[in-house]
Amino acid sequence: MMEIKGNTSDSDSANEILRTFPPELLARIFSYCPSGTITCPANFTQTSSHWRAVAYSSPSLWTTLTVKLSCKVETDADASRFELAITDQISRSSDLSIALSFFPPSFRNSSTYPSQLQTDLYEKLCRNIVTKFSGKWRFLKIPLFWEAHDFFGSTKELAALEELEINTVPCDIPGCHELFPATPCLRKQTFYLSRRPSMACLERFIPTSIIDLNLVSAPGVLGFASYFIHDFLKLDKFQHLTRLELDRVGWTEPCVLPSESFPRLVVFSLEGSINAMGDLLGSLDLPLLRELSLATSMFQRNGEQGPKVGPALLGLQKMSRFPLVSLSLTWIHQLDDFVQFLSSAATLEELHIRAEGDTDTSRLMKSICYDGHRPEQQILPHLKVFSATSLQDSEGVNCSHFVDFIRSRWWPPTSEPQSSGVDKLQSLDILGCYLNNTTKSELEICRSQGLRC
Amino acid sequence: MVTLVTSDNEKFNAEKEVVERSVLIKNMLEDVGESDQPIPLPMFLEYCEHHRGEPLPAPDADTSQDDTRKRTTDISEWDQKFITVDQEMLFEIILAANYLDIKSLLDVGCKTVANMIKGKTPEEIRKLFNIVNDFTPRRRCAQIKKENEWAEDR
Repeated sequence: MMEIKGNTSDSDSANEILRTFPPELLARIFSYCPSGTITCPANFTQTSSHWRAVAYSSPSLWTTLTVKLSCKVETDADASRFELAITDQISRSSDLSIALSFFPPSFRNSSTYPSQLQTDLYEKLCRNIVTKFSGKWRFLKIPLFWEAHDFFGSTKELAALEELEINTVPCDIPGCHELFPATPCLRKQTFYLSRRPSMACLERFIPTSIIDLNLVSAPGVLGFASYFIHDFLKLDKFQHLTRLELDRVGWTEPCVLPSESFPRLVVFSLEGSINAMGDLLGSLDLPLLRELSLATSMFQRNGEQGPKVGPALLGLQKMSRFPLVSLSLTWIHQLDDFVQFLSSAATLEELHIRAEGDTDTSRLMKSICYDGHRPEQQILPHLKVFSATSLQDSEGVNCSHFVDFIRSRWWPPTSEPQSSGVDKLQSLDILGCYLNNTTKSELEICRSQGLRC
Repeated sequence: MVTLVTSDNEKFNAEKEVVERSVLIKNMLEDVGESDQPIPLPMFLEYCEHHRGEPLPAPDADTSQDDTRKRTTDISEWDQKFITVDQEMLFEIILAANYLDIKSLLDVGCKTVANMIKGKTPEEIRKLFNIVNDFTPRRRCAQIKKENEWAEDR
């Protein structure tokens, strides 16, 4: 952070100028400062009465409201005062919409976890705030610690809501699916599905206008089971979806899923077991896909070995003919599985690989080296951005696969490319990789010659 | 070419494309039309010259709520060097950028001040900018009590 210091007389004259700043200019400066929370007020509101007045009368400074529930809320009276403090802050936003995030309180140890009374107070407080100002919210983040399933029962409409992050739990309230409020502006949803979720809730909750959808499974379990994904794919909600993230899908036995088309999906992120990823990719049609991110969940079971994801991806590409531009592969321990796909992914411009210990780096780098003279090595001709994380380079004078890869795709401004028909690499990121000395020296040379690395 | 004249009568010639990064100058040039008449304005040529050709912010960038949501305090290396000046000059630059309506420079200035404020206590901010604590002791007490009622122990 830059420090600017001056002597007292300089400060005096600087302060004279600062005092002439019109309120909108001070507010502009404050807009770049952390806005503070109820439990930690912004420092600029406590500096002087003038700064405070400017801040309080600038609605745009109060459009993000982060409420960390205070562990000091122990009685109804505490909850009322806390609610009043939140209401005060909301009123400063005037007629602007607000992004509201609730976070659970910090407790020092398990013996001070919230009591049932406190949990009830928090729930009532959050419910009051959300329903009382239901037209204000453009973003809502509902905490994980309480069951928010029937949260919206008393709210008819969340008119400004564009984005919602919510925890959902099994539904045991008959008829509650009719209670969800209308959300005419809702475009992005994130569901934290902590336990076996109710498909009926999701069906009611996800509007057909949704364009960005994230489903996150609880940690510590396999993730979404095949029956859940089976039912999820049958929801008729995906006509406008442009981004989908499925975080942890997991099953170990092959499963047949219903075929589903996502006609406008551009970005797809999928983390799961090898079988789940293979089955899912094999069931989809993604004609506009441009960015794909695949990550293997950190568990392995017998029967999950063998090429599965790569062939499924190859099949998906043949069917959808998508214009894939960016591919990220995380913890994919059988990268060979993907080489055939990469050979045919001619539109790819970005490749990001995060490896695990047993990745055959030498083989991988050799396979994505470009050689304009050998048709089988004219792989990824438009690759411009490459990143590698946790790859292990090999020792020895003949282990130059990293260097060969770089030299096949990058050349100094004054030189000609070794091969014709290949785009020049524009960015190279190598993070947490073990590199041998030859590679290190070569990278230094390339960097000095202008490679962004 | 356009001729700019500083308040102490020093003249600078600059290309129209460069000085038009200032919306104020751009509007003035449009109002005046083709003319040899010099425009009496302070110089920001170095900044505008460096950023020549970069897209100008959208006219409604300030009022768009989307814009205020995404604000970061990152400043490019060149801009950081440019804005490394004493406080008085920094505030003058901000005022002038505001007057000349050079949004990108205004943002660099405001971000720089915001970075100075970040992480500091109110007392440290007062000391840094030589600001008087004008909260009366009684009011200060009440405010501190009210505002810090829910503050976490650190």
